[in-house]
Amino acid sequence: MSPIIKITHLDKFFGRLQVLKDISLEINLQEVVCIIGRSGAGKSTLLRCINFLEEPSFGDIEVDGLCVSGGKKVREQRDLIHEIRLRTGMVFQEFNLFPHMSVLENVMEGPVTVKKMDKAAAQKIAEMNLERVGMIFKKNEYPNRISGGQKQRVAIARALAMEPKVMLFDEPTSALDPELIGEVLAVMKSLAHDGTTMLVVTHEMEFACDAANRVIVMHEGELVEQGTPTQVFDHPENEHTLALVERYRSGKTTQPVN
Amino acid sequence: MSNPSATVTATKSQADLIYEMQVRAKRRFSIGVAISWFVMLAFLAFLFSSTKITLGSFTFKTIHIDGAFIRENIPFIASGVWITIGISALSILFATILALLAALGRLSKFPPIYALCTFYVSLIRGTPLYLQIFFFFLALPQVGIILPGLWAGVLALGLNYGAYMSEIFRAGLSSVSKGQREAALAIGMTPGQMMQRVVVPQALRFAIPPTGNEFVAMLKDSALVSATGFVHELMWRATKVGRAQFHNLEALITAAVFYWIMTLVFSYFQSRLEARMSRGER
Repeated sequence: MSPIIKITHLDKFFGRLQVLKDISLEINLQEVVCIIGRSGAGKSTLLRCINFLEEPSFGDIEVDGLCVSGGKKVREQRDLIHEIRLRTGMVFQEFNLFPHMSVLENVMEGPVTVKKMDKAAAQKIAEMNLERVGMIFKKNEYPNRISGGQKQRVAIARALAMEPKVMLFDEPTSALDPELIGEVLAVMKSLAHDGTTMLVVTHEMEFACDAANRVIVMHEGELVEQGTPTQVFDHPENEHTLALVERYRSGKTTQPVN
Repeated sequence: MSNPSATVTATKSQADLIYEMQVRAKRRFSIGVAISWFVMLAFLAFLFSSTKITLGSFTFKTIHIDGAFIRENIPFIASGVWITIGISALSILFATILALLAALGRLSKFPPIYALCTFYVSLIRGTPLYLQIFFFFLALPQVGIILPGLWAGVLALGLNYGAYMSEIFRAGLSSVSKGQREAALAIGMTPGQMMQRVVVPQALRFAIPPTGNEFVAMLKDSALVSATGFVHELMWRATKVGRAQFHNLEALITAAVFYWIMTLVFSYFQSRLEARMSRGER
């Protein structure tokens, strides 16, 4: 089976600073892949290159058979980029719910505006997805009236409503108070359980350990190690992975996880 | 003898007492301000009351205004109020459309569009409103374009306020975070859909209260349109009857009172609007 995402020799420069160095990566359908690494390792940039929120400098990105290249003019491949965005759902660190729309309207917005679905059908899809993330009870609230964890769950529902082939999570729990992280991770785990293809940039080692099929370690723009959670967490080969894992392990002893 | 209020006070917590004290202090301040306003108003009335005052051997009179003249001409002057409001409403509508276009144009990556918007704002802000009104009314006929006074006024006011208000709208557009745009793009919106569904609605919400403020300002600047001599709004009417009978003092005071009342009324609605918007669904 061909991979749903295939990245080949991806480079990304911010000015003169190279933040991604020759990244090649494949993600298969129904895989849950976590990208870990220190802040500034290029994890988020890599994720954002996939749906072109960042423009890659060099290299190719193939999503669901649609191939776009870094360095080409955005205008030339605008339609491809648009199609890729339709097939990928994204969840942001800062939720980015639309503040002028209710929870339900937020989730309906994609189907109605982008897919030109009629309102009744869109509402059905929106309600189904809100149900899925356990937020149907707040469907008529506005985003400023719900907690961070609830906002993120709504944001997940908003992405799911477009029925993407793959979900991209950009540090979905990093902006949350510690007591709110659990509810979001629980939703993500249930998605993983249902066979959703997920690419997750995260600092939550526990989640990576439990939910991922594969863990990717990045360090200073390079992909330094990848493997199953057992391989990466129990038998790390790279020194940077070891440092990450060590820190996680030492945290684990003082903070028991449930 | 039992004192009911004393027993109630005794059961109040310290927090209640402090809160009540703050409320009382606030109320005292408001009452003080209201009384002072009243005193100043009374003093102003006294200044124009033609009262005879004798201080020892020195006698003088405060300013005399002719009440009969005012009574006689007040219907004529007052009927300009609606024209003033009409001109302002038309102009603010025109200005809002222009301002939104100019603000959006400044986001354009196409140089001529960006240049057009900055050029417009610079040109209008660099010349007096008074000149602009005369330009449309007096200068354009020379090239064969004859605009009625009202439309020359609305055009000039709209263009002028549009330029200033485009800055408000620009601030509104930039108040919408990058994350909002990215979220819109990520669910597959085109840049056009993103502006229409996500950015502009939020920018408008930001811009509506200051637009109300501009409307209040325009109510007064609309008086400049009277200079064309063909728009029978408040100021035109006041100067007309004032000059004709050499009662400028009475006529202008009457017009001033109308302007002031209009401003007070619209400022009140504007501040209500502002309060409502600020507690809105942000």
